Amino acid sequence: MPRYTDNEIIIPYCTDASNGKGYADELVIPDSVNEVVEFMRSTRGMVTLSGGGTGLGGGRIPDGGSIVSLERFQACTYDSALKQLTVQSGVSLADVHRIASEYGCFFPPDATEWGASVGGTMATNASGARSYRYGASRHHVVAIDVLLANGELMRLRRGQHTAVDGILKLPSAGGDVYSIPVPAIPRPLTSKNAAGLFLVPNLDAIDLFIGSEGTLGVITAATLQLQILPESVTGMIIFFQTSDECVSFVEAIHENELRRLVTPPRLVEYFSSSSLAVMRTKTTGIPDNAHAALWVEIEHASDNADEVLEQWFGWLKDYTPLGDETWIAGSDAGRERLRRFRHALPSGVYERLTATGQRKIGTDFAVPHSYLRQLVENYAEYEQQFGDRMILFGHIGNAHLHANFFYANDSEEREAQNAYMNLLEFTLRVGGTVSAEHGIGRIKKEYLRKMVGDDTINTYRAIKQTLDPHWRLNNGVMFDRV
Amino acid sequence: MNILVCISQVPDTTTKISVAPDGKSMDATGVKFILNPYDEFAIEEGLRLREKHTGTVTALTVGGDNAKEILRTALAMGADKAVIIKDAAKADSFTIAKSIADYASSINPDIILLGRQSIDHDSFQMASTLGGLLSIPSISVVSKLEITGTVVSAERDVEGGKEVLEASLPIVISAQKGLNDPRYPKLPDIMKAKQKPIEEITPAAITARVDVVAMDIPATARANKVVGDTDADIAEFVRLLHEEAKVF
Repeated sequence: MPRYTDNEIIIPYCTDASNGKGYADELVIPDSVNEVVEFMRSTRGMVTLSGGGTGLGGGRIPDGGSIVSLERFQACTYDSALKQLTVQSGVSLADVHRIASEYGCFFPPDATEWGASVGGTMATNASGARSYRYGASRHHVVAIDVLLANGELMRLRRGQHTAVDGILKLPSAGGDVYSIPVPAIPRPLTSKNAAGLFLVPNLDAIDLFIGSEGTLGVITAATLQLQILPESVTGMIIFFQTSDECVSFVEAIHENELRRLVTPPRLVEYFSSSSLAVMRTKTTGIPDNAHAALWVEIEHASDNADEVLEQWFGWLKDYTPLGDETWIAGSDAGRERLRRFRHALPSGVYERLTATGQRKIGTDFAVPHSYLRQLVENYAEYEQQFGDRMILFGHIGNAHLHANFFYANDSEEREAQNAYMNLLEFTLRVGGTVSAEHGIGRIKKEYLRKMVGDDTINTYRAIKQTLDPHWRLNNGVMFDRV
Repeated sequence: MNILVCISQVPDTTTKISVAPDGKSMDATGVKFILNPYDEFAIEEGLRLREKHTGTVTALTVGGDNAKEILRTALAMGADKAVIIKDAAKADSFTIAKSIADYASSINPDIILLGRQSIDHDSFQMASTLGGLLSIPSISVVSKLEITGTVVSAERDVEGGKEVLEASLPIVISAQKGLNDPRYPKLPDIMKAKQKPIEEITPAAITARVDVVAMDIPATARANKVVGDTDADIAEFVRLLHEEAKVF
């Protein structure tokens, strides 16, 4: 098993898309499950797990000790009867999507960054645009292999171990039973949440590990439930003169869905005026008087595309005078261009930072749906104030937007921090979450504590203490030991 | 400017292809067909030329009735007219080029635009054959196009650089990815495109120049090989790249 201590080799593993930096004594790249089991059994030091390095929370940035990268865990098997794909943790999401499509299926969660690894995706319970309809990753995972800090490997199937009366009992191979406290902790009333451990009554053991950001165990493989590809998907970009019109339409989508009046979209994404400004530099045809836009995708049977288009067109005209300008992507290639276009916003941000030496703070807050309009209004004020030092986009269907604030000097940094903290305060006041999808990592621990309170953090610590008594795994991620 | 855009319907890239019982054609059962991706750039370029120089854009395809679907897409994007040359068999590149050339002779276009290749048969022949049949210049795989008066300036990506060519109208141009960013059709235009007429043309009888003898599905991907990272392994790796993978 390759073990490296040469700094030149280790350094690329000491950062991620958060742009933070850490250090480590060695880098370990196991070739097989046996090797990583043996490594955990025979060593005692701290371990930071490394996935694709696309995380925005600094979850893979080490703080000394060893880095374990599962990049060589590339095995993959498919059960065609059950349409289940079992993949090891090093497989990229791009490969998952490609393999699924070869079998006429797809993996519904669509985390924006396809360079992410399955391991990272599981650790953060990643989600993306399509989670509007399909929810985050955990809903599509039927089993995981998880390696505990002591080197014990467990295969957990959904439904196998669930919490009863606030205790989750997990039998170990040695005959002992890990007894994990699972008190009922109020969850935010948002449709997405990636902040903190997933603690619910009747908790399934699998869901404790998924989203635990590598603090409780190493997920070495996952069995993903694929779904059959829809016959047809139509993508649309709908333009609005104001963000207010746009919010009204998003609310109408919800309402009509509840009343089953429209074919429901699988994603509802927002482009604010600042995003449109960036898009205008890269494409033509965006109406001059558009100051907000939605990207939606609708799954339907191949023979009812006309019906779906007419239905949407019929009622979107009531919400925007720019209805006639709506762009339609009926082909896979056209939709793929829309997807890449949307992805160009965050990745463009990342490139801009790297090229100009600027830094950024990005929000990942979500609020309960009833506060969507207020959320958008709050963000819009900052958009006015910050000009091209801010870009706003995101999953408006889930009342979950990403605002990135850029800064090049101390005073700009203070301004950005103030805006971030004000928005955070608003989010917490209305019962929202500090992280809807990126996770806490090392960057947002203090915000998580603010959100859930010290008692809950102590519960997290107790759970970790049970499964990882020496705090070897991702120590300092999500919450601190003291 | 009289602009003719030739487009083609091809199997979706994600479709699993199988060979028909005759052993020399594709089995179309269950295959999803799409507009050839490179042709989208040709349509867009035609529309941009019309916006700049005024004129008409005629979208043309050769195929069976189901190929009308891609003409609807071209109309929705903004083409003025749609024409289908009814020939579901499409025996070879020559017969297709000849029937397009016959039609082109009847409308005398200033420019004929098409995708650099159709992604089903990948013959890359259409632009040059059309140019030959019509005795006009053709420039293939164009990534930038400027027309001033009758002077055509076309840029092509070549290994490690760019090549700029000049010619004059009338001309055949095949489009490379990156020539432009194709627009998305607008909702009302999609509705209107469904109502527009599509002119149908019966081609003259043309003898194919090429016979397909057999068609086969490629053998499944080769197994991966893992070599180590010692100096000897690296030498072996280089040898494998050279002798087995034949990459250099």
